[in-house]
This record gives sequence, C-alpha cells and structure tokens, in this order.
Amino acid sequence: MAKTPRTPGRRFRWTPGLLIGVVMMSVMVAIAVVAPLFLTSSAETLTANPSQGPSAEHWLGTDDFGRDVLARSLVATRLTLLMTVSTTIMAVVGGIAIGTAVWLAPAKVRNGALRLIEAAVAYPSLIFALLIAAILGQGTWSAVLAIAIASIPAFSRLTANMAASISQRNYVSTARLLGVPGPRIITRHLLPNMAEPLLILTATVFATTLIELSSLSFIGLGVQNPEYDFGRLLNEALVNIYSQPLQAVMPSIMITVTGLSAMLIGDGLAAASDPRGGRRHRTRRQASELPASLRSSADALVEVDNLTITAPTGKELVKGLSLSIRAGEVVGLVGESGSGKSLTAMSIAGLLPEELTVSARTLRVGDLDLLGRNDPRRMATEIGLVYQDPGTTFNPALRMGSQLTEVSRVHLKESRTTAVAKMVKALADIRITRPESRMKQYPHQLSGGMLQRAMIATSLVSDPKLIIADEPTTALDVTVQADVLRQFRSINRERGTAMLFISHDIGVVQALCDTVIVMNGGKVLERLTGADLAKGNVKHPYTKALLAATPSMSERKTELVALRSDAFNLDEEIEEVSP
Amino acid sequence: MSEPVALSRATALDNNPRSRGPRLRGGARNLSPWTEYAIRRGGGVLLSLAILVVVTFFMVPLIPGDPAVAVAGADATSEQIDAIRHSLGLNDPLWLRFLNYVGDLATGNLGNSFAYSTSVTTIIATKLPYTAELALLGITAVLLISIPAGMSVGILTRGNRRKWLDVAFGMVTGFFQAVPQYVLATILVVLFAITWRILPAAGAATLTALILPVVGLSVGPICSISRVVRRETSTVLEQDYLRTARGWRLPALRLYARHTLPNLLTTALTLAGLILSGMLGGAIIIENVFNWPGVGKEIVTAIVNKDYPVIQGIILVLGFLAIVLNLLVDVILGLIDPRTLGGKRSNG
Amino acid sequence: MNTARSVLSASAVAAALLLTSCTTGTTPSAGGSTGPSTDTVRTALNSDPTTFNAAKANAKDDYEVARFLYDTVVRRDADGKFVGGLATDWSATPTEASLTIRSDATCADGTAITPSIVAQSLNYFADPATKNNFGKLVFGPGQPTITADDAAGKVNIKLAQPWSELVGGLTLAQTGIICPAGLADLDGLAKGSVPAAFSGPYTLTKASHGVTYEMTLRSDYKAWPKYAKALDGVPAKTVKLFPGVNKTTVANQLLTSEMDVSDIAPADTQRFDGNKDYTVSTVPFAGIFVLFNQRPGSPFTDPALRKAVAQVVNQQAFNAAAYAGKGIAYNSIVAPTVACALPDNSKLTKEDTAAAKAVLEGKSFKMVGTTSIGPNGAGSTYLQEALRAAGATLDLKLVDNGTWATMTQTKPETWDLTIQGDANFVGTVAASLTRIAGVPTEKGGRNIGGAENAEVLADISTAQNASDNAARCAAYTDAQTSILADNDIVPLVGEPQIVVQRAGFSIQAPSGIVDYGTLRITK
Repeated sequence: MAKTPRTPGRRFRWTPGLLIGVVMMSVMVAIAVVAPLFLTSSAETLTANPSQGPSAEHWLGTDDFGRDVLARSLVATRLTLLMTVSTTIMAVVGGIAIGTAVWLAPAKVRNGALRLIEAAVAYPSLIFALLIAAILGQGTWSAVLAIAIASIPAFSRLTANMAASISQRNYVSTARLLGVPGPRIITRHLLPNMAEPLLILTATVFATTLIELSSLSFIGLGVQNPEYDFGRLLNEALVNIYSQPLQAVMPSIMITVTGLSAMLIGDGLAAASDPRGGRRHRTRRQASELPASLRSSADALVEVDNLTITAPTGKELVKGLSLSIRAGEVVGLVGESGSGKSLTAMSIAGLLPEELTVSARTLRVGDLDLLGRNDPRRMATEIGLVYQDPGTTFNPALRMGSQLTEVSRVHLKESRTTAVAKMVKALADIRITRPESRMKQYPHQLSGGMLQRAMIATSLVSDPKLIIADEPTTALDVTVQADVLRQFRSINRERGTAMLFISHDIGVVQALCDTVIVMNGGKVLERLTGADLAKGNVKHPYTKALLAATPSMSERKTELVALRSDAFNLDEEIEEVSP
Repeated sequence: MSEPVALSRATALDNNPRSRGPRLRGGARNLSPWTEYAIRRGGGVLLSLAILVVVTFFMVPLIPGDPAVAVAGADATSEQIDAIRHSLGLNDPLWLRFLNYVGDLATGNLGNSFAYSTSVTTIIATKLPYTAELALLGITAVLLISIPAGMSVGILTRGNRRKWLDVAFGMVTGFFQAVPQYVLATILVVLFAITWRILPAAGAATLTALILPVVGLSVGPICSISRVVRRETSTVLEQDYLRTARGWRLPALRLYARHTLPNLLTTALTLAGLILSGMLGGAIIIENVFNWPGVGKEIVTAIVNKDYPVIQGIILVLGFLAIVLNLLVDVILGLIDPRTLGGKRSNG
Repeated sequence: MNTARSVLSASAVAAALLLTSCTTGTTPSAGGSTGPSTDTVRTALNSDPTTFNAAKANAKDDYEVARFLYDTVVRRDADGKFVGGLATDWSATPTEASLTIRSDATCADGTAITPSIVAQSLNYFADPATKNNFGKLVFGPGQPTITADDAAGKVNIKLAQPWSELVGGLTLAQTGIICPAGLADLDGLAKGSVPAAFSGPYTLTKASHGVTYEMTLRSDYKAWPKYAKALDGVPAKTVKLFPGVNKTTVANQLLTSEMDVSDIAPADTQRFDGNKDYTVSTVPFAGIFVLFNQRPGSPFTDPALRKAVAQVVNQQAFNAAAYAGKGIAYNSIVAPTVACALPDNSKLTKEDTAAAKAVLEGKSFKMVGTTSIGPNGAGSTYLQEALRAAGATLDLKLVDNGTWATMTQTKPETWDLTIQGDANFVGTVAASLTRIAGVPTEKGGRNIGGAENAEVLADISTAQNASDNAARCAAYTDAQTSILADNDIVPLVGEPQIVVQRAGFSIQAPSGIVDYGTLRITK
C-alpha cells in the first residue's frame, strides 16, 4: 500500500551550463584542497614589503601587511567553501525539518506553525542576520550561524509549500490513514518527491549564502583575523581599491566564479530534472517518401496519408498512418494510451509539440495543407478543437467570457458586444444556466462539465468544417459524460459538422461514430463502422480484447474517475510505448 | 484534508499549475472570497506584527556592549555612566521596559534615540523616504527589465530551441548575480563617476545621483528574477491552456501578453515583493558605497552605538513594511488570478 | 581594473540606466559637479552630531559643529600660541585667571554677550551635573569658581587646585559660550532648535538626521579672531555638512567636485598626490598606543612581558597596516607638536624580535581591539600578527567602539591588552597622561589600564604648579620617560587626520588641531 509512485528512471542529461558549472566548482574545490597545503606561508607571513604592486615574486602584489595577494585569494577558498557549505547545510536541513514536520502536525498546530513561518519570513532577513551576528559577536561561526538562521524561515516556507502539495496526494493520505509514523512519511514519501526541487533550491541557497557571508565579512562582522575568506579579503582590498586595484581583482573573480558555478549547477539540475528538457528541437514537416499503404480518398474533407511522427530520439510514435474523413462524417479513433491517437489528432490540428518530426505524403483539412504554413484565421475558424481535461483547457487567469469570445473577436473581427451576445446565446443553446454570469466567472468557478460544454460552444461559433475532440469526456464523470456525448451527436446532426473523435474507450465511440479506427503502437489495426462495432462484428483480436474489457456504461463510473487525465503528456506516452 | 491546498504563489519555485484542485464552485458561499480573504489575512498580519515586536524587543538588548557606556563616550567616569544608564531607563527590569515600549507603540511613539537628541520617529521619517526612493525605483527597474527579458528568452528557447541563447542567458545572468553588490557598486563608481565623470559618485543631492545606486541595487535582482521568469515562461508555455490558445491561432502578442504573462506574474510579483522588502532593509552596502542617507546605514550605526530604540524602531518599521508589501502583492495577485484567494498555504 | 568585466558591467548597466531615466524623468546631466555656488562649502561628518549642546559634546562631530555655532573665549593660533575669541585679553596663574570680554559680541538673537553670560555658560560647563567629560581637562581637579564683573567687563576664574593649562583648555570647542536662551531650554539646545543659543558665527538652519545639516552665516557677527597671520578668503554664507559618509566615498566626491573640504582615509591620500586642484593637510588626531591591563591577574603585571611586546612592535609596519604609512611618528604618548613632548625617539623601547621571542614564545593573551583603528581594525590585526610571528597567540576580539568601551571600562577580566586611540583635544601632556596613570575606571576614573602611577601623578602635579615653561616641561619629560621605561604603554603612531581641500576652499589647523571656525572660501 501507499507506495510512492516514482517517475521511471530518466537518463541524467548533461547540459552545457551544468558541465561548465561542475567543472568550475571542481576547480574551486581543488584549489580549496590544494592551495592551503602549498601557499599558506606566503599567504600569511608578514614581510617588509607592504602594499607592493605586481612583481615576478608577487604576481598580484602584496597587501598592507606585505602578504602575497594571489596566495591569500587561493588559500581563502577553503574557508569560504567550508563556511558556505556549512551554512547551506544548516539552512537546508533546518528548513526541511521545519517545513515537513509542519505538514505532519495536527491541523491546528500546523496552521499556527505556518503563520509563524510566514511571520518569520516577513522579518527583514539581512538585518536579522546583522542582528544575530552582532549578538553572537564577530567571527566565522557566528556569521555562519547568523546567515543560516536568517535563511531558515524562507527555506522552510518553500519546503512547507512543496510538502503541502505532496501531502495532498493519495499515497500520502493513504499512508497517514494506515498510521505510518510521521518521520517515515517524511523520509519515504515527502522527501523523495521533493528531492529535485530541493536540490535546485539548495544550489540557489548556496549561491546566495556565499554572497551574504561575504557581505557580512565585508561589513566587518564575519571572519576575523587571522582567518580570512573572500569577503574579508575584499573588505581589505576595497579600502584600497583606488590605490591598489589589483588587490581586489582575485577575490572578486574567485567569489564570482564560485557563485556562478553554483548557479549553473542549479540551473543544470533544474534542466536535467525537467521532463521536457533534453529533447532536441527538430521540426521538419516533409513529404514522406514511403509508398502509401492505405490510400486515403482524395475527395474527403480530411486527408491523412502515410503520417509518420518521430520523436527526437528517433523513435517512431506514429507509423505511416492514413485516414480520411468525409464532410459530415464522425470518425472515432480508439486505442489505449500511447497508441498514437492523440498525436494523430494533434497533427491534424497543427498543434504537435515542435520537437516532434512530422512527415506525411498528404496532411490536409479541406484545402489547408497542414504540412505548410496556413492562414491562422482559417485554421482557427475551420477547425474546432475540444480537449481532454476541461479543468486545464482554459486560462485560469482570464474570465470565461474573454476567452470564449477570443476567436470571434480576433479572427472574425467581431465587436466585443456582438461576440459576447453570440457566445451567451451559444451557451444557452447548450443548456448552460445563467450564461451571462458564467461569462464573468473564472474557469475555476465552473464545473468540469460546464467548462467542456463551453469549450464545445466556443469551437462552434465560427461554424468549423471539422471538430477534433481529443478524449473530450475522459475527465468528466459518467452523467456529465453522457450529456456531453449527446451534445456532439446533436451538433453533428444539426450542422453536419465532420468530427474526429478520439477516445481510449471503445464504448464511448461506438454510439457516436460512423467509422471507428482502432490504433495500437502507432499503427491502424482495424477500421470498422459504428454499426459493426455495435454488433460486435470485429476481426482483430486487439479490438476484441478492447471490447471485452469495456464494461457497460453503468459500471464504468469508478473506472472513469480513476483514469488519469494527462491528455497529452508526451513522456508518458513514449515511456509506455517502450517498456 | 478535504480540499487540496492551492499551490499558492509562494510555491512559485515548484510551480505546477496542473495539480490545481477543485475549489469554490459557482461561488455559492455566504461570504465573498474577498471578505473571507480579508478576515484570514487580517489575523495573519496581526500575528506577524506581534511576533515582530516581541522578537525584536527581546533580541536587541542581547547585543553585546553597554548603551550607557557607548552614549557616555570615551572619557566618561563610571559615575556618569551610571547616571546615563538610569536616565535611559536601563535599570528597569526588562518586562517593565517591554510594557512601556508596547504602551508607547500603541500611541505611535517609537521612543527616543539613546545616542542622538532626536526621536526615533524623526530619524525614520527623515531617512526612510531616501531608502524607499531607491527601493521603489530599483524594483520598477527590476520588473520592467526582468519580465520582458525573461519572457523573451523563455519564448525564444521554448522546446529547447536556440540552445546557445539559453546557455548565454544563464551565464550572463548568473555572472551578474554572482558578482557581490559591493564589487559591482565600486566598479560603477570607478567607471561612471571617476573615470568618465558622467554621474555623481555619491550623495542624494540631485536626481542623477539616483542612477548609480539604483543600478547597483537592481542588477542582481534583475538577473535572478529574469531567470525565474524565463523558467516560468517555459513552464507556462507547456500548459494546456496555452495549447488551447494556440489552437485558436491567436497572434503572438496576444498569446504571450494576454495568456502567458498573467500566469507568470504570480511568481514574479511574489519574488519582487520579497526583493522589495529586501531592498528596503538590505540596501546597507549600496547606501554605504554611495553615501546614500537611508535606513540601512542608520541601523548599522545604531548597532555600533547600542542605540536600542533606533534598532528596534527601524526593524519594526521595515518588518511592518514587509508584511504590508506581502499583503499588497497577494491582493494584486488576487486581482490578476482569483485562484490565489482560495485556501492559502494553510489548509483552511 | 579588469577591463573585460568593466565593459560587461558597463553594457549591462546601460540598459538599466536608460530605463531608470525614462521612468523617473531623470536626465543624466553631464558631469558630477552640481554647480557649487561660491558661497557654500560642502563638507562631511563622520556621523550625526549626537548633540548641539557644546558643553556635552563628546564625539569629534559634536565639537566640529560646535565650532560653527559657539565661540570660545580663547582660540588657538599657530605655533602653540593663543588668540582672543570672545576675550580680548587674559591673564593666568596656575590657580586663577582673569578674562576681559569683548563688548561687541552678540548672541544670534542680538543679545549682547556680557561677562555674566560668559560666566553663566562656563559655570554650566563646569557643573558636575552637566556630566561632561571635559571639565576636568579644562579646570583640573576640583570645582572652579567662576564669577563675572560686568562693570569691568571681566570674568574671573579661581581654580580649586593648581592647573596651569587653563587657557589651553578654554580653547576647546566644548567650552563654547552658550547664550542664556539655550541654557533655559536644554532639550532644544541639544536638538539645535534654539537659534538664540548660538554665540558663534553660524546658526543651524537645517538639521535633517543622517542626511544633511546646514549652517548659515550670521550677518551681524563680528567677533572673528585676529590670527597672527590673517586668513585668506571669506567665510562661507552656507556650510552644508553631510553625516555618516564612508571615507572612500568622500574621496570620490572630492575628486568629482561633489564635496569641497573633508577628512579622507589615509589610503586615499595618494589619489590626490600631485593634483594641484587639491590641498592636503595632515595633522595628528589621536595618539595610538598599546595599553596593558595591569590589574592583578593579568599577565602584563609582569614588566618583562610588556617589554617583550614593545620589542615586537615596529612603528613603520603598524603605520603601513593601519594608516597606509600616513601616520605621524610619535616619540612618546603625545604628538610631537604638543608642548613638552619628548623631542626624539630615544626613550622608546628598541625593536628586538629575537629577545622578544624568547619571552613570548608559547604565551597566549586576550586582546580586545576596536574596528576603528586602521581600516576594519587593521591596527589590532597588526599586533596580533606581530605577536604571532614572535610565537605568542593573541586571542583577538575585534569589536565596535561602543562594545570596546564597555569591555575596557567595565569588564577588565576580558582583556590583557588593547590598542588605545587617545584623542588629545586639549593638546597637553597631562591630558594623555591622566588617561593611563590616573584613577582606574573601577574607582570612577578614566584609566582603563588600571595601574595608578603615583610617580607620574606627582610629576603632573609638579607641572601644573610650575609657573614657568621650563619647569613644567622638565616634570612632563620625567613622567613620559618613566612610562616609556616601564612600558606602561607602547607608542605606535599618531592617527592622521587628513583634510583635503578643493581649490578655492581652505581650512586651518592651528597648532595641529583642525578648527572648523577657520573654514574659508578663497576664490
């Protein structure tokens, strides 16, 4: 039970930034290890040659005490890194401990604790650090402690927020219901799921800590003689910046390089952990040179001939697919997740992610050749689109009205009032209650069914030739689902709009579609008429299996709810296709 | 545990709008979201203020050094020091001093400076405007530069295009973020004031004197925010609703300005709020280099002088401003994106 | 500087600049100079004056502004001579003095400054209830009797004990005459909000804490001192003082003509070297010496250890570390410019690291130092390093002035040695000697080292009783020789006060003490 789902192991990607960052950081660490072994004496011995310019003996000259500036800058690396690492560890461990513990506390304690953290974040952090440093007295460890303590509130707030979202997930709730002890929930469930963002944050904290520590040293509250870090060297050097500028150069470079490398590593880790990253951008839409296997009819409204979609890895996600849709025809595309059906639909909509390579002999809707550039106005008005998850289809930051009327206003050049009036009518037509006030609401204030019906309504205002509906009912519960399906049916009957209806659920499409195409592994397995399907008149074993696995409508509620709603998550599809 | 927590703006760094849970549906509640919000946040603000006052009051006297000795000066006799200690009220027990302090606070009185013959209110009223001027200009520069810059780079590098731009952007912003402020400020002075003589080196006498401090103050935050905006942009560009907008074939400007920008602002404004609070309180180094008469310098002097009322007063005022700013940012975000009004961070 | 970086930062900044100027409507005008009007002088203060009550002036900034606002009865002229201020004439013996007050001086509100007013102000200054730190330096031990004879135009001072340095003491800015309106409103006086309190050439017309202070020249003021060599130029109509200025920043501002006259940090002196547009004058501001805690329990009750420390110290190296080599060599506890100071360095303990090492090897001491001696406390750092080279360990606590004062004055158990900065405002040997040989702090005195030195005190007393200079100097020489032989202190150098004046502005330091009353515009 309560097993933490983890993303299957991704290959770690070395971005150039990450590589540069790691190399620079390694150099700094190497300096930190080696320099004190060889250079300590020239860095710390007082000589009778104070404040000298550069010479063969002292490349960057000497400081006010006659010590070698270059050697001091190099030797200071060790203390600087040690301090920064210690501070970062304290801040991160403290922040994580507080941030995660808060989420396992009883609700009342948690609310109080969150407010406390909130209040602590409001405390001006640099001044807080100054105050702590002043109280603890000057010195290396008091500076470390001061910055660490001052960084903890912000870090624990971030951790708490991350823990908040994770602790709402099913597996954590389950674990808690099963009475799994708190610390175990933290180590087993919370931390592994926060590891990536935390790692990135840690790199950022490292970089800021470095600068803050050096600022304390710069103000004179940090490291004290005889110890020295970059901040103290700069503090000494900047006093003489106009008389001995060279003295400041080396510590400046060292501190900048260290900070930069930490930031690059953070960025690199973020990029590496980003599932979207690492794909190479390579959009080519080219005519396929492969011979057509199943020719589509040239007189159809939609013609797809020999469509191949290739992932940047070279894997073919859709393999030479052909289909055609006649005017007024409803075509269903069925298959399990990863079968390539959504990719096919999106390539017809012209909305494939840009890094995928599309090739086809023909790919057109009416006279719009989708392999080339098209007039956006025609694309928008001639193809209507309905997506899978109505909850994420609409822009959460904009009111419904302004989104729903966007096509009318932008492409049909209608005035705002006309467009709104038209939309209100369209909403009323599909039996949405109080359409005027709905228009003023935000997406999150409407139910999924209402949003989906609104999406259908807006896809109809421009009277498109084709509607592409990509699993439009999957995210809806059963009663709403039936209603939405009825909408589609009546649109097709009343307006004669052609439809490409994608579903993983063969039961959903059989009632609606004239033609059903069964896909698997990026290929068409079987073409059927809706009537054949209803009769169970199928040949391919896969289709049979699909049919057998489909319970009757009334039994499907639980299954539908449990289904995940990732309409178009490429990674998942790739991974599921290639086990 | 019934309602999933809104991924509030503060989770900005871990932003994942897809995990948005169901929230107020249809608005059929007794209170408007704003009223509920006001009640919830009002309590939070009061608590924050209370903590601020208590922590500050009891922390400041922990600073080593005797205020009476510091006030008396180098040649004072112990008798004089005792007399001063008495007149500053330092012989009273701490709890009594605290009660008096809170009582005074209630009437808006922050007390009198130990070291100077002035009230703390006067000191803050004189110096805060200078800091505020710097901080507000700084944050304006930050927002006006970092958001367009971050967005453009985010858009130009979407889907891992233009790798070189991505790397260059990361390097340049990382570099300027990593240069310590005092080094950058010194370089600015050397170049613009000393070498080229086109801008004043320091002081607050003229409007031109604002330029270098504002630049010195904002270069770091510009870099950090534009990096965040860049990252957020690529996240938002992958969202379903952007695909919807693309499906509507909206022109680029509309796509980015109307559909992308508001969804980035959550993160950017949150960070900007934090940075502005930081600039108000943390411009110490810039104030020092540019001889800018702000509160940051005042607090450093006050720590040296063991001038408790000034230290406490400044921290209180800055903390108060930070709290107000935080609230203000939340309200702005509520206007931009009403989802953030819902259960915020905490679960109720 | 590193060019690549300069170029980078410059280009990045250009965009921001453009933007700032758009959003604020600020147009970057060419040149940092903001067109100084010829009747204004801009100068810097270390920090805000803590009070405008001259009698309670403690910090350097307090008495700098006091010079503008209040006149003293006597002023310092060059070469250790005195010149009349409010007094036209004076006569003094070790036990009493008589001052003839000029009849034409007025307070800022027009009230004539009569001998009564002068006596009233001096009495306020000397009153123990005023709690100022300088009364004893001016009037010596005990309470003086100060009376006025308005008819004769005279003020008479009778001292409790012989104190032959009264006239020098009366040049202190702290003894500035406060007019009756100020004494009637001490709160307002401290805030500087009682214009009628001012007896000096300027009144305070604007006081904006931490930002700027403005002094305006009184049109009716006539009581300028008649220096032996008349000052060039005219007094500024307005003096603007900018408090809390970072010293390096001030040097920038001087170079960009944003500041006219100011102290600068020693390290920045070379930026003005050979620049004919600037005059740089250096005077000793404070003697810097190593001071030992000689209370029982401290290792430095042992004279051998004190001597060893003295043998470690190299004045030049300290000077380089703390004052970029601009410090003034000291032969004794006071500056060479002070009357009766030792004429050469023959009495100083000679540097001898080998001998010192033998004594110091393996020893460890607690040191407290202030960050204000040398940049970021480099002075104390030097001593720490020097002792480290001699095999001793120095646990150095580098703290700010306030904490340093607290530790040295009230917590003798926390330190064994320190570096003391001794600002000798009166310019007498006695002023510095009482600090190290007088009553220890725990007994209410100002001797933080804790060693009461009866021999030195006797010498001081002899000097104060002496009616002629030769006798006084003989006694002082004795005292100085004795403390150097004992190594009660180890003189390092004099902290330099380096005043830079832009062409067209001048300020004098009569007898080695910078006097803001001599600020003039000469162009």
